[in-house]
Order: sequence, then structure tokens, then C-alpha cells
Amino acid sequence: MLGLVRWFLLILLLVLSCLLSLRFGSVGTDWQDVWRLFSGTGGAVTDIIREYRLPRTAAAIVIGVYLSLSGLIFQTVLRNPLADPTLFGVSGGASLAVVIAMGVAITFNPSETGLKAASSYLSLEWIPLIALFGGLSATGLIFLMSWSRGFSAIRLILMGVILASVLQALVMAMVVGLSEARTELAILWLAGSLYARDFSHIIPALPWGAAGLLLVFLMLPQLSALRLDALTARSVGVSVGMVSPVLLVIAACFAASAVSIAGPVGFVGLIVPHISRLIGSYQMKDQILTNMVVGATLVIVGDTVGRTVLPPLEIPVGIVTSLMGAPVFALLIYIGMRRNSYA
Amino acid sequence: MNTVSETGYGRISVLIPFIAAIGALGSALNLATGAYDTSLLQAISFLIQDDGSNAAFSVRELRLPRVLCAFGVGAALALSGALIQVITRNPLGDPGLTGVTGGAALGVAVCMTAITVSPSVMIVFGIAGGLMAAFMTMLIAGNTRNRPIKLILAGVAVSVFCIAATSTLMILSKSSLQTLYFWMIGGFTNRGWPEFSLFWPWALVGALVSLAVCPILSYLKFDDASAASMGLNAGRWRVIAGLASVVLAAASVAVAGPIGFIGFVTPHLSSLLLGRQQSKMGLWLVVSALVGGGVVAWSDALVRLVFEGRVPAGILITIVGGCLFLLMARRLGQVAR
Repeated sequence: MLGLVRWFLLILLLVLSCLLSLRFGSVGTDWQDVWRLFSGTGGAVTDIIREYRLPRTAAAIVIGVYLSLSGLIFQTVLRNPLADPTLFGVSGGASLAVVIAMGVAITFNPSETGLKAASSYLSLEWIPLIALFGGLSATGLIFLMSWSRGFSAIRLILMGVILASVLQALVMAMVVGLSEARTELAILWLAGSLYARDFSHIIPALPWGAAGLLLVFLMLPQLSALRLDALTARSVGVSVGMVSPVLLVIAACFAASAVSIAGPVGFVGLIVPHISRLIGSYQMKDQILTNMVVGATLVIVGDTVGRTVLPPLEIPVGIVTSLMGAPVFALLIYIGMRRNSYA
Repeated sequence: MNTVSETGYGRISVLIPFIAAIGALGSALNLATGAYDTSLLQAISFLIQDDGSNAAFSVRELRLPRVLCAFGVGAALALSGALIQVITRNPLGDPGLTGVTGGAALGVAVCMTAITVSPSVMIVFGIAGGLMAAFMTMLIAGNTRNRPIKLILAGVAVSVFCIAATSTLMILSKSSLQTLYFWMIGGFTNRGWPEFSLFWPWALVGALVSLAVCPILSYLKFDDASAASMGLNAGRWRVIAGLASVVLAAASVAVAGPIGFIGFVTPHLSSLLLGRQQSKMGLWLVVSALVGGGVVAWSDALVRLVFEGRVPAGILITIVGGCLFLLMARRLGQVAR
């Protein structure tokens, strides 16, 4: 009964945040325009909602789901409450790969400028793949560098933070190195913004997510066993050495797909699993589902807040989530200090 | 090997001029490159005598302050990092990683967007922001003696927050994302005499304080009890040295933006260079400052030569410094447990 009420409230919040995200923006609209979107009648204003806000909301949902799942898997497999895809260099690696690819595309087609050049010569279907490649390489590099008789997650994070800032600097060098008129897209994308995303950005990333989700549900028993320590997991018949790398790759893929849509959106993967544990979902399946709903809600709210604070100016959703996430990160460290855990 | 290097004075008497010469060469290279072609010798002769030509103007009024800023910021950040490493007894100490530069950036941004663009007020806000961030980091990290890495984690949390807040402020004040990126990565494009004249008094005060307390700093490396047995109030001196390091870092941020990793890398580099002499605190601080200044001066010269000044120097420094950090963090394995 309690579970039902909780689910009802969660879904209600999600729907509400979707509606708010459709309703508010730099162009004034009212609830009737949103309603006309669903009833199929309506004019120019409804077109704005359909063409600009609807894809944006959809993108926010996809990103929220991907990032929070990625964070949940990282935290479970590494048994570390501080794990987050952005801290492991996934976003940095993916950004660098995509910016290099854009640079190559622009170099070979120097005639066009700005948004058009990058999107017409670097087909959007390729971007998730490229991001995936970059994200996985960066994650692999970090794991390689911090391996010494097992992973200490705290060392992983240190390496990840440093590598992320190096990658960010490399990306900056690429962006500035390309001529200035053509860096518009790269800069926009690097800020972790949902500005001007349409369905052509979202759809290429969907199959990857669906495949990952299927795999996660197939590996549900193993995943829930991994919450315990490695010995216990082994004793209930999970081959930790086999399962953990597979799950980590899936997590990195989720994060990279999210990055391929919006650029780096920080800390969603860190905070959402904690929120969903706080509101009382302990079973793995329950946790995954709650995570998806909470993650989507969080990113939608972040995006809506970012673009309604001072329209027409826009704060990228990545910055809003960092503002929310950093204090949570600090709190987790503080609590961890007290308990003296996180070895 | 021989007796001279056993005592170490021979080594030092070669080392310090050598480092200074490398730094000076980088600065001179920086003076000589730019839109007006000038040879190294010409550039230096323009410094001594202004012949009224355009080239002389660009050397004296445009390039010289930039070079001084670069060298000064490098030296200040290196000193700041060295102080942090000593007072927290933490080999991973760095003004960027402990959140100080992030906080200073936030302070400067608050001042720029909400109060005034007057540089002298800006620097005060920068120092206030840096202090607040340092305090927050300490509060979050708690006692880090046994786990130095926790200081860095807490610093990361603080600095991520400060950087996001800075970005928000700058976007809301209608700066373009490109400006934001340029500012957040740090560099010396268009830095002139006003910036330098703002920077040097604070940096000088910070440097003098850190040199003045350096006899005491060498006791702070040991635990507080043995410091107390020698009649020292360790806590008080730690606060004083901490203040000096925040002032140094904040002044640098106000001039050049948050430049990463110099404060971490150069103290270790100077330990390597000094070998057994690194236990001499004053010497270590001076060599760190010289190395820091030299590295930043060279970076600025290189980005101007290779990218014609379109890339801020901070990019090169972050890439090189970060890679060095990754290599060293591996070697500081027992620390980065």
C-alpha cells in the first residue's frame, strides 16, 4: 500500500514537471497552449511547444534515466557511494572524442560554417558511437591507472577528477584551435545544455539505452548480489570477476549516450541513487525503477529552472545539476569522514 | 660524489641561477614574440631605451606587463601550493584542488557582476571568496592527517560548486559562453599594467609573509605535539601561513583566472631538483617560486608562438600539469591509498 502511494506520488511529480517544462520558457505560453498540443488543435504558439519544448523535455527524460542508471550501477558495483560517471572521466572522454570528430569533419569540409557545418558533415547517427568510444576509453584509462591490487574507489575518483580536467583542457584547446565561427556548436554542447535539441539528437541514442536496460534487467540477480561484499557475492554464485566489468561497461555506455545528447551533465548519477534510497526503495528492481523516475524528474526540473530564471538567458542544465549535486557530494564526504568509511 | 655536492652548496649555487636563467629566457622569448617582429636582443634593448617606435611601445606597454603577470602568477601559485602542502601535511595540496582558486573565482565574479568592476575591490572579494572556500573545504574534510586524499575530495566538491556558481553568474550577466570559457581556464591575454600593479602588492605581501614564517614552517611538518614542545602554537602559525597562501592564490586568480596544477606540481619538482637540500624550507620555497614563474612564463610564450595567442596559457598548463599529477599520484601511491 505504501509502495503504491509512493509510486503514485513519484509519477505525479514526473508528470507535473513535464507539464511545467512544456509550459514555461522564454516565449510566454499558457496552459491552454499546452492542452492544445495534446488535443491536436492549435497555432503558432503550440508549434513552439511541439517543435522546441517537447523534444527538450524528451531529451531531459532520456538523459536523466541514463545518468541515474549509470550512477546506480557504478555505486553498486564499486560499493562506493561517491561514484558518479562524470567523476570517472566518461563525459570528458566522450566530449573530447566528439570535438575531435567535429574538428575532422570541419577540416574536410571547410566551406560551411557554424551549426550547419558540424551537423551536416558529421551525421548525427555517428555522434553516440563516437561518444561511446571516447567515454569508454577514458573510463578504461582511469581504471588502468588506478589499479593496484584492486580498485580503491577513492583513488578512482582522484584520478578521474584530474583526468577530467586534463580532457577538458584538451577539448578547450580543440575548440579554440578550430576557427571561432565554427565553434558555436561545440561550445554549446560542452556546457551540458539542452538548448536546441530535437528528436534527431535523441533517437540515435535510444537503441543503446534500450539494449543496456535489457541487459541490466537480465543481470538483476547478479547486480543485487554485488551490493554485498565480493566474498558474499561469490558465495551466492556470482562470478564477480566476470560480472563487474560487464556491468561497468554498461554503466559507461549509459553515461556516454547521455553525454552524446547534451554534453556533460554533472552529478545526476551521484545524487539520484541516494535520493531513491532515501525515499525507501531497497530492492534492486525497485531501486532501478525509482532511479529512472527520479532521474528524469531531476533533469527536467534542472532544465526548466535553468531556462526560466532570467529568460531569454539560459543556464545550461549541466550547471544547474552541478549546483545541486556538489553540496550533496560534500555532505556524503562529510558523513563518510564521520563514519571513517570509504576505504 | 664529491665533497661540494655532499654539502650541497655547489649544487645550489649552480641550480638557482640555472632555474632563474631558464625562467628569464622564457620571459625574454615572450617579450620578443608578437605582432611586431622583434629579435630577442632588440626586445631587451627596447626595455632599456624607448625609441618611440611602435615595436618599442608594444614591448614596453603590452608585452612587458604580460610577462611580469605570467611570471608573478606562476611564482605566487607555486608558493601557495607549497604552503598548503606544508600546513596540511598533504603532498597533494594545491590551491585549485583544495577549492581556493574556485572560491576566489566566485568572489571575483560576484564582485564583477553585482558590485563593481574596479580591480582593487575585485581582489579583496577574491581573497574573501578564497578564504571562505578554504574554510568550507576544511570543514567538510575534517581531520585529514591520515587520509590526505579526503582533503582533495572535499576540495573538489567545493570547487565544482564554486565553478558552477561562477558560470551561472557570468551567464546571467550576459557574458557569452566563449568569454566564460576563456575566463574559467585562465590565461594572460590582454593583461596589462593595471592588472600587474594590482597584483604585485598582494603577491609581495604573501611572499614576504611566507618567507618570514619559513623557519617555523619546518616545524609544522612534524606533529603538533612536538611543535608545542618547542614552544610553538602550531595552530596559530598554520592559520597565518594559510592566510598567506590564500592571498597569493586569490591575487593570482584575480589577474589570470583559475590556472590549475601549478601549485601542486612545482613544489614536487623543486623537491626533485633540490634532492637532499629540500629540507631547507626557505630554499625550497624560493626554488618553488622560481620554477613556478618559469613554467608559466614558458607556457605563455609557447601558446603565443604555437597558437598565435588564441589559446589561453591555462590550457597548456592544465594539460601538462594534469599529466604530471597523474604520473606522480601513481608514485605517491602510499599517500593516494
